[in-house]
Amino acid sequence: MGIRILHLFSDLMNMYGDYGNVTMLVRRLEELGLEVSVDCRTYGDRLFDGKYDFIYCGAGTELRRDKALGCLKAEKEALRDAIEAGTYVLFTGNSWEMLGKSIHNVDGKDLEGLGIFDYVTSETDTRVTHDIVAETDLLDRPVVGFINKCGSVTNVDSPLFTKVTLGPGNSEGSGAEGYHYRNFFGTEMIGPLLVKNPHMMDMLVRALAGDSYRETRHDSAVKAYEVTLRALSERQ
Amino acid sequence: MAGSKTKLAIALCKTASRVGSLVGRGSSMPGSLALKVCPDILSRIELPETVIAVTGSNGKTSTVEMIAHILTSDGHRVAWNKAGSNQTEGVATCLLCDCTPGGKVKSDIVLLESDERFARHTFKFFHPKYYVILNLYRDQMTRNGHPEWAHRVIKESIHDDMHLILNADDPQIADYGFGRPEVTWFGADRLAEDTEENTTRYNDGAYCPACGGRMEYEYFHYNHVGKYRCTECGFCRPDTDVTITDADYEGQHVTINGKYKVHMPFSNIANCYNTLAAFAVCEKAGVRPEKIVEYMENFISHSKRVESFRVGGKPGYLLVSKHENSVAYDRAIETAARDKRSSSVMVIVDEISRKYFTSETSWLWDIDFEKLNVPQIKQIILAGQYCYDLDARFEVTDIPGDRITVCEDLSEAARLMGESDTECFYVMTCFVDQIKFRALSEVETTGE
Repeated sequence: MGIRILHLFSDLMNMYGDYGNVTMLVRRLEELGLEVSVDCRTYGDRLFDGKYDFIYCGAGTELRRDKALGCLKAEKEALRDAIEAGTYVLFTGNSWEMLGKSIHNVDGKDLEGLGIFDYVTSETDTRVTHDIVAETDLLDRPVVGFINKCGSVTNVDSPLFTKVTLGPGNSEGSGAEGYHYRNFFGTEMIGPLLVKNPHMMDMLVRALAGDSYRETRHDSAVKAYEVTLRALSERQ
Repeated sequence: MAGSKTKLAIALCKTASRVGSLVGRGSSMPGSLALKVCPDILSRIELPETVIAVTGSNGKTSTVEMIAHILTSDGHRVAWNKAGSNQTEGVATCLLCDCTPGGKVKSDIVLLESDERFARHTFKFFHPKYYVILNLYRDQMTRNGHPEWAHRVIKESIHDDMHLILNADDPQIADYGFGRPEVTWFGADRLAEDTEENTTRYNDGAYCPACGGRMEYEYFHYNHVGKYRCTECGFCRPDTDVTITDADYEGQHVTINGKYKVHMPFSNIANCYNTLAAFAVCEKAGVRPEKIVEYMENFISHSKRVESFRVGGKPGYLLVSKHENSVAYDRAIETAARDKRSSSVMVIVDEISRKYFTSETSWLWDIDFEKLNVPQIKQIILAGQYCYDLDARFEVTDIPGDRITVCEDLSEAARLMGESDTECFYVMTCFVDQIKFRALSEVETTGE
């Protein structure tokens, strides 16, 4: 049996090269001799088709996120069930906001979220763009990335990153970023963060590959991470 | 009769500009001083009837240079922000320095390159008669957010009394003309290199800017620029008034409206559009099309987006692109891949921006590096501080690994390139990193 990946809204929610997360993950898994299949599902498709080992959704514009949210509503039980069953789920950029209670969007409209989690998003017409360095108990080294958003998320009871050492957190002064529940990982960081953070990629590959896991070398990815961590550390 | 505050602001701007040019200071400082003395100075001065503004993600400077060349060749006195200072302060410097002490702009045409983020502020004070909007791409998103965000911001700069000159082939731009009585639309007919599928890394035209519905394309000229139609609300590419009917890259000209063969400074699709936009607005401003053709024959660009150099005695071409702008990189890649000679290609990402700090490299994943996978490109050198991010990106292309060399040090990278047995070189990078490349002792610059 191969590994099944669901890439949600691969066209709609792909504003910052986010697809790179899935492309590189597939390569890492195939390198271990595993068979991997990727289901790209988007607007107009049935989103969930059976059981997946990993579900991913990337970042979009505010309008596209609202559109994706509309599509997900019809199948929110499938997403909730997958999360409760311990499926590995990663939502990056503004996509994780969809799982919360509500989104007060940039046009002043209040949208009902999927309600799987209790957090609340509130947007303004001010853009927040910043490099970020953040720490999580799940990893022994910090994660580096970039935040590109226009709002804040509050009422987050279990953030993914418990300490933000550079850049903005979920809301002003929160000092924490993203959301973590079972194997659901949500973060506002945009782009291919699994590529930029090989240790985070490794955590996921280890979990998905199980007994097939072995260490493999990815020197460039490690060096790229070191270069960025060093550059950002000088800014802290 | 101009008030004393107006006169003071103008005098201050002119003095600061003279002092500034002596000490080599930028062109926004004098305008900035004037705006402090008189914040609404731009609405107090007397402008000529013809004010042209150009905005968009890519090609502003090139387009404005062409327009200025055509208008001055036609005998007009043109005030334009040639130093590239395209925010409100730079516009103020340009206009106030051209004013009489009493506040009347002396030139008979004002031509402004406008930063897409600042146009809404600048155009609170006055409204250009002709407003050219070129395109909207993923560009410097660490600053601009994303193209839909930029779209909102540009929309705030548009007023009812402006005549819009819009790119019909870019859906995000065409959206601005929706419901307006008079718009000049420019665009291209189907061209030889068009594709029916989007062959780049992403499609920003996949969803309709008007209703969010799914869009269909009959063909793509490049990226999301092409002939589109929304399957849900009927929004579609408007018919064009000024049209590229043929593009000849070898002969370096575009044919407009089937009869005007216009020379363009560089051979790629982006320059076809810049040339077309310049043609459209100059015709609107009263220059006869035959004259535009004539003036463009001897146009030489000062922006130097392509420069030649030599390494190890062999010819090389510097394709000055923009970091954080995948569309600009895609054009550079097309140019390198189109050359039939055997070549080495170097990609340099050392500093992401000259204006601000970031380590953001997600944009590398939007660039269609896959298109460098042609047999005549024998070697690809990835250089600069972020060469390892580049290498991770290249890892997922199907370019054979033995063609790729990673080398952080630029000098060493240039030496490696010089040692290769290919016939020529291409170097693609941004403004700031190209300066570092040209300064290397291994590189002999030869100018145009």
